[in-house]
Amino acid sequence: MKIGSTIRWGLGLLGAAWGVCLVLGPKAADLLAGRFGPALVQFSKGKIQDTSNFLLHRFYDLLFLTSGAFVLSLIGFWLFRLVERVRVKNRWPVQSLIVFALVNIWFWLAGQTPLFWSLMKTQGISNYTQYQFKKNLISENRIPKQAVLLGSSQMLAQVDEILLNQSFTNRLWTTELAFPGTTAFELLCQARRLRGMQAGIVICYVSEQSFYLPLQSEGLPYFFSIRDLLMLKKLGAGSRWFQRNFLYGILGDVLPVFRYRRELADRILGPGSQNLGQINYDAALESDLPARAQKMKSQFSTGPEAEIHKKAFTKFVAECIRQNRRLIVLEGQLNPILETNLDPSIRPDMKAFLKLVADQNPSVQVVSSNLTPEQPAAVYKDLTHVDEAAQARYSRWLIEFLENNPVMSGAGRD
Amino acid sequence: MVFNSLTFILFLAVTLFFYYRLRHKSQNLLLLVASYVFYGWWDVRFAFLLLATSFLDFYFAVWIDQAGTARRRKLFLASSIVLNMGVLCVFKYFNFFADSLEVLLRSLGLNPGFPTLHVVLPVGISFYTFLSMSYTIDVYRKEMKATREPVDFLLYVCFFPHLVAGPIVRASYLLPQCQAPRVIKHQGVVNGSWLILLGMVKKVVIADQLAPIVNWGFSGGMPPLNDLNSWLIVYAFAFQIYGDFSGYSDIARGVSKLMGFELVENFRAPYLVTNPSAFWRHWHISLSTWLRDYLYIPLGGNRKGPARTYANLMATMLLGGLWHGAGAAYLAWGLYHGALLAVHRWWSENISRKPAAAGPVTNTDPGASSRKTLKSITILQVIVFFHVTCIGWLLFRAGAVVKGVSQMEVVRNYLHAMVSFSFGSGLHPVFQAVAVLGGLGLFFQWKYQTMDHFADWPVRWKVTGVVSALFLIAALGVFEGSQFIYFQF
Repeated sequence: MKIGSTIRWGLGLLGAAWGVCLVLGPKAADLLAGRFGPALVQFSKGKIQDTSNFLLHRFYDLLFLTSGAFVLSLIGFWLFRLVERVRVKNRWPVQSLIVFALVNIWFWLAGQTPLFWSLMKTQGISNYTQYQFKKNLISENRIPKQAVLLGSSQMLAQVDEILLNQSFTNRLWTTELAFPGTTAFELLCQARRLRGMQAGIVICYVSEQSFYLPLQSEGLPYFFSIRDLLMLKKLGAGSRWFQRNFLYGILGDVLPVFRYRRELADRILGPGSQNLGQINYDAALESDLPARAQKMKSQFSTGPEAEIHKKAFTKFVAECIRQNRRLIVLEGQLNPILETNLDPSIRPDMKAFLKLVADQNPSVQVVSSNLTPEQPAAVYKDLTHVDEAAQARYSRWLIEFLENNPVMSGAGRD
Repeated sequence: MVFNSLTFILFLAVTLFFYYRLRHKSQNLLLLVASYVFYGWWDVRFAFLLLATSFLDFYFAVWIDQAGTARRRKLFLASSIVLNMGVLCVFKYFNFFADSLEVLLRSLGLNPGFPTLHVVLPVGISFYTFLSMSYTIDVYRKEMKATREPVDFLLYVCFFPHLVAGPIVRASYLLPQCQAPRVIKHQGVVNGSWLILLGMVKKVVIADQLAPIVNWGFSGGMPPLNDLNSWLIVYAFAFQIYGDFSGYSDIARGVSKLMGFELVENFRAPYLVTNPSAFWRHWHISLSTWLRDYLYIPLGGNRKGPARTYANLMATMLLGGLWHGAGAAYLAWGLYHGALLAVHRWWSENISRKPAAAGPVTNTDPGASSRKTLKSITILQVIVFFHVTCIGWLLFRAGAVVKGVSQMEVVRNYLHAMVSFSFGSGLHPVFQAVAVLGGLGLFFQWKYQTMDHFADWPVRWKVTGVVSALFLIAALGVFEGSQFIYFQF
């Protein structure tokens, strides 16, 4: 078959598929939702409510990815032809790079679809899969008022988004986009990637972990990008881009396959091997919390990196305001066992900084930890994460706080 | 500086940039400096030790060449061997032998109180010592003339691609390449670039992805999977060490090709063979040929009757095991392979009546094909011998486990689990990783000859190969700059 004919056939088939999907897709989605809807709701733990809409969008995802692959193949074919016209001894290195670039573009496109991330979902501990899956679903949600919960794994431990969504029913939909180890600098990187997202409210939980840990955090390979380099320079940390996780972030920005490597490894090699790192890490952790706190305290510092974090957080606030989002900052805490081991100046310094942020930005609500439920050492499972009972208590408090909050009635992005 | 690091990539780029602009003598000087920078990156003191021993061997060879009498020749050779083995013993074996002797004497009621040396083992010391020693022996045997150019000889010893983990290249093979102007062929550059890419896949994908499974499996005295699943950990190690070492050799050969050098092939398809003799013709070929030529044959080889042949095989492999490191694990592994070779030889001569191999290694013909070998054997034999090899790897790896647990205890616990004939609750989830990465390792072995001749591939296969390698490295690669296992030997 000649190439022209292949292109015609391909375009014809794709056009027909899109047509069928647009005409019959909603009905097919309804049919499937009727059959598998309850199971899907149960599987997603209530995170997917409109199953018909969810399934319809997955049809679109499938067609989008197929069309993308077809178009990229055509581009590749055209570029191959161009390369063949050049009189050089070896064309294969250039052709290989073209194919590799196109593969990466396809993975980047795929990364914009929940279908891809649902295929990446395994029994493993892949936080980025969950993050991307939930982030991509936000645009499909029909509830007009939406909030995203940002922060580290502390946010995940503190707030039960399912409880919030059940409580608010259709008045507010919350999506938890917490990522382990998120610092203030990472919050800024994440916020820059949320541009265009429809959620009008941003709720973030910050503690000493957000400001006094090193700048190089575990989430940077996922959230740092080339576009953030200038920002890093403005924050006074220009030379730090050469650190490993910053470089990984830059490389991941250029090569999506590299950025998704943990998720691809989970899928290709299975979570059994990929989780071993975490298992070994957990096994190596000191079981005695005071002893672990003693070891951990040296990681917290009020040095120049803390100042960069603070500047980054100020920029994060400005970014949220620029994106027309209402920001609620929940002043959090660590396990008192750890807090008592830290430099005593750290907590007052954080509180003073957050007060300054609130004073400078009247539209931003900074909720002091004095107003939130008390969390003694007994409610902590480790040095940073509270247990389920404390989570439920904190979530109920947050529901009550939001119910009486102007953000529920006031105008915002939505 | 390790091959799988950004530092090395920059180092190589800078070296090549200048290398391609210089003439032969200046190229050698550049490579000499670059090689010492490469080696001194670990510890600059190691570079001085390397320089000193290399210089002495250079002069020993010259003196052997110039010596008027056989006695003087022998004296200089003995001095060279004593020097090399002395350095190796001090850095690598002193503590092992002192500890072992102390244990023995204590068991006899004596309290000798031997001193312990607190020295850091120089990286790759076994490799460059054997390399250097083979040169003086070859000069003594009049198989080659001693060079009068110190730069050429120093470069032969410290040439950075092979310096820390081989291949152990003979002077008769590499020294002429240092002495004569090199021609950089287009085909060599293409094949070299591919070998680097292939080596990186073997190292950062196969070896480094399997490493956590192996570390987890050997982090305690008991296998964490105490049924037939325990085989998975041993398989994982078999492919980890293959990926690690064969990957290193590929990168070393690839980098050399970029500069117009040719290093010897070090691996063929070691897990697709049917007997121990064939295994040593396919695994770490440069070491096994070295042992054959400088140990097994001088010991008498197979010329002094069956009993002496078996003893020579055992002794050669025992020392081969000891070459890897000062530890009971390596001795046990060497003995195990010596016993396998002896039994195989006996079997070949007395039961199957097929012509027996003359030693651990007899066939160094690079044209020998694993595919041809595969045609003549059954798949079953390959599978059975692979498992026999795995038992050897268990002995090898079990030496480096937790404190307070003896190697034999670990081996016993593993063997107990491996022959339990029970699967507990089915295949363990690490199976997927071992199967995928092991499969990839086997694929590379099955196609090893094709892999070596990338320049001859059709364009579409070249593109497919390069894109697949790049995808594997980007998607599954581990980039924490882990050391190669063989650096410690």
